[in-house]
Amino acid sequence: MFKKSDVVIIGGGISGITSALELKELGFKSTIIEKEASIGGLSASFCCKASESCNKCFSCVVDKKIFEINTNKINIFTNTKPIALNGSPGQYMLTIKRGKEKLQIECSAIVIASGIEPYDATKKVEYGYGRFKNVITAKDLDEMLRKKGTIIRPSDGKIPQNVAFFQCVGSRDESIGNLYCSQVCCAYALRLIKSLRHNYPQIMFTFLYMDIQPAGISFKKFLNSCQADKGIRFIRSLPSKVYYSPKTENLRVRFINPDIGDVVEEIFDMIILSVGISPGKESNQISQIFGLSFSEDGFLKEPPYEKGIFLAGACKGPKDIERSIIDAKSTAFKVQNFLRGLN
Amino acid sequence: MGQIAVFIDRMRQTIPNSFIEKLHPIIKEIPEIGFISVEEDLTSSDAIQRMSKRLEQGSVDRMIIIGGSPKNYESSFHRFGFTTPLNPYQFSVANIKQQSLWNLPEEESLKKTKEIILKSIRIVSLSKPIHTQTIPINPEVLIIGGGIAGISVALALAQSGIHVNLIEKEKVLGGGMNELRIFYQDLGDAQKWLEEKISDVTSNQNINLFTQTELIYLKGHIGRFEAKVRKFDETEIILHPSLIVVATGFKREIQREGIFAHRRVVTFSEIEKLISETKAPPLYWDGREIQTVTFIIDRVNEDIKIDSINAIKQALLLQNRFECQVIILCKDVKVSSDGMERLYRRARQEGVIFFKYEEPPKLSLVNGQFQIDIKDTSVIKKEDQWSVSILSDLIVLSESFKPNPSNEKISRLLGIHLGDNGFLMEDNPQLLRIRSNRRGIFILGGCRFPQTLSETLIEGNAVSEEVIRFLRNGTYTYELSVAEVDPQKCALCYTCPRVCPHSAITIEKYAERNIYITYGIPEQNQWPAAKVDPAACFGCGICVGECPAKAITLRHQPDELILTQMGINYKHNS
Amino acid sequence: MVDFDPKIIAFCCDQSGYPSLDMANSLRLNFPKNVEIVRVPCGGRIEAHHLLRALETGADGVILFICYEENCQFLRGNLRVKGRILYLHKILEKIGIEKERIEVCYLATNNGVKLIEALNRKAEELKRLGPNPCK
Repeated sequence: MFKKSDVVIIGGGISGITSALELKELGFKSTIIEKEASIGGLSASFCCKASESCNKCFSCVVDKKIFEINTNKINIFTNTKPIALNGSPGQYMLTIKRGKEKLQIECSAIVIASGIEPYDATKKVEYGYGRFKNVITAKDLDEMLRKKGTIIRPSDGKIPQNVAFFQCVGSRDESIGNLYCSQVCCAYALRLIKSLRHNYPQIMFTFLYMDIQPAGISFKKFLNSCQADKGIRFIRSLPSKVYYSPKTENLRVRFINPDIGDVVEEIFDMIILSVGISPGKESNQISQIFGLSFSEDGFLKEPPYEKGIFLAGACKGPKDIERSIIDAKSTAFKVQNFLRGLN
Repeated sequence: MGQIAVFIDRMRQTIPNSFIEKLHPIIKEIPEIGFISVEEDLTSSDAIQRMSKRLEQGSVDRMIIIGGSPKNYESSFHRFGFTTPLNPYQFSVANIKQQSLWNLPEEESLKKTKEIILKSIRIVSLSKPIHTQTIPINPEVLIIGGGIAGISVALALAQSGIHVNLIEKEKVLGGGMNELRIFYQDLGDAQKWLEEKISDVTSNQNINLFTQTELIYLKGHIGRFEAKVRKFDETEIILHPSLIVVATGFKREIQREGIFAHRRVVTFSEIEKLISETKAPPLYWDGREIQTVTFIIDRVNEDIKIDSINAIKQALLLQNRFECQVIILCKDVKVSSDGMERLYRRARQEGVIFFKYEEPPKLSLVNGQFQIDIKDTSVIKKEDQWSVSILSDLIVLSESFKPNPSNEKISRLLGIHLGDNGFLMEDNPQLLRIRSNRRGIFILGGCRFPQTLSETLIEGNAVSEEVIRFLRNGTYTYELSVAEVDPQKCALCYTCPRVCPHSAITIEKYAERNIYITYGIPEQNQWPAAKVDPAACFGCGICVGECPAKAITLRHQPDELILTQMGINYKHNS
Repeated sequence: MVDFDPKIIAFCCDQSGYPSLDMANSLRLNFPKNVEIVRVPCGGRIEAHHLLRALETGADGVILFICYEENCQFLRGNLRVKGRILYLHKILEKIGIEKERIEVCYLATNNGVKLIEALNRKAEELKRLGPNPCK
């Protein structure tokens, strides 16, 4: 079976969706190939993190873009993966597979928007993710807030009173070989905390961090309001170990408290791990099929322009939603240059 | 008024047939109904084709859909709607999949459904057709600001065949990037790269470059702006761009008070120049050999990562190439840029020392050297947190990043918003960073907020993409679902130009026909009144609410629409 | 306190309120009985006299679902309607109607759960306040 499309976009997350919409406005036909059952990718599971006013988390923009693409009649193949690329720049033949069915698409250019995975927190054994019930990742928390609307301890379904956020889980960490900053987790965690503080003023938060990375233009005001909040403790120290009490199901965390100047152990009833950004699981396959190389940090590297294969979004390197959208627009510009150059 | 078509969408059988059978008698009671058609999935393309074929038969001129959320049907109907005799604004959706109607006992849910359907029918009977308008749009763009942001957009657009007028206040192009000598990613020559770009701009046929030129006046709206610029010799030129890109950048300022006025307290730009111009160690400044350099960052600019990036890059070069000992004092080490964490580790491996402070470091001058007193917060035990004294030959301070002083003037002239920190445009996620509040005016780069070069270049591409989207066809077509002022009622109170967030309203002398409000008055009887430009209007209705004389209307969102939805007056009157 | 189903009119802005409503519908959450939905393009389109007429014609309460500050698609619509509501509250106080009958609730596009919670909370509050005195 044979189809024709100007551009094929691998990945139906926010970057893939934005590229498809922009290319459509520029007059080109695109087809999106998405490996999951529905489009939207990682950011579609995010909830709105507003407190009394918008905190610029961009999750509403993602929902709007998903709505736009569903009503715009762009060809989307879900549950589909690419398996082989033949042909030459400007005249590619891409083979895709959905279940047992194979299909060929003839296209002139390809956009890889395969995105990223959150770092697998089970690898950070000392934090107990996967073993201790009340240790979850920030992404788990986001999904919980989106679907249930409330934060609850997985062990007993009650609202926690004393929550700790661990930053830099999987980033800036020589022991696991991740020598890059994921750039988005500081602002992401702080937005979650601020929105939870607004809805549950009784919960106390402790923010355990290394350095606070700025994000966006209103970050100074935002950070000042977080620091002025008596319910959020900023402690510049990353914890070393987490102990679990089977009786209370609380967690005891061992870290250095710089104010006291010594090693302390404190009890929390819930821990949220701010997991960093890892290259997508499919990156190896994609690099093989499309002939791409990797950067030092394991993300995909943009190939030379003449190849007609372009990268969009976080698959190139850690980005938040705002920068992914801008990057996808920038990629759409490069693609349209390439396609016009062919004629 | 013609008849009303009714399409019932079973939404892939989530609405049971028995329910629909009970709806038929309710609908048939209404005299204006033309026909009723039941579909399984009205959003599928074959259903839409069948729908448009039936509508083309001509007996109906408006329709309602009984089904799910209006948002599902609106965009697909809008797309083909203008091709059938039915106007896409003469349709309404009765959303019966709402408010847990499935949970209610059948009698109640039928009653409620009947109400919703009757409301929809009244709404569609009141609706009026809305047309489209097309204006020609010339491939001409005005770019204000000749820094790297303006340059990159100019080159991208010129390459696509668009004619660009680039105006720059200073004598030379390059803006803030003239201070950058070395790229942090590969320590390559930034000035050489910039010079190539500038030479591309000056030699490009599609770019008209005006240096020492400023914008003094702007009027008009998207597609037909009229901009007056004044050149260095006081002559004025009028340009007619279709779109405008603002890339005026930001300003660097240094507070030189007290000890910071010393000759051996330098800025980032001065150190950058020194590093790139000195070929081999030792490094000299002010006649003195420099062996120890201390960077103090985050005193101002706490939330901007550019300082951190520059400091680490320069520290690495000083330590590595010039055998200096470098100490960096900061609040947070900001490495949230591609490759920065590795650069940071490399700097530490080369011997750069980092101190994180909470209380600002104390400076004094001792025997011609600077003494910086700081607490070493990196130790565990509180008693080991000694005060450390650093003796340094040179201190590097970050300049604070301030909004461009011309931002206020630009905001006034162009009618774009000023953020509360003095930079252009507020931080609203719906703007997607590069749009301004006005259709047809884009902003990018440092005038919005100081950011790294790589981010600015990506924004430049994104702006070019949006510009090309507009200019692609040579025409711009928009729907006339906009606000309209009735000139007879307008009291010239000047409220609406001030409240319109998109600067789409101006006061003009006119008396010709509006789009829908028709007066056909001869030209001699002109009077001043507020006028909404249909191409620039977004149809939000804020002016409609604010006008004290109720002179403004939104044809597709009249008051009756709101009152009907509230449950007033929807009982069918014949 | 009479047991009655308070009539609530919910104004939903097209950018945040209505999509949240769709999300609540698709998640099959339970609405309180007797809610009327009014769809507007932006909160800024809602005028004071619409809200007063709502109360005049038998609604017990009005709730506005509009965008958060600095998240309005049309940039300033939510601020405009906020100003109008403050003015309305003063009027309500003068004529002796409880301020709680007109309320603003800020939402984003994907706040389906929050919308239902706000509606249920409003229904409870109105049950306590009793029916609209001008009915």
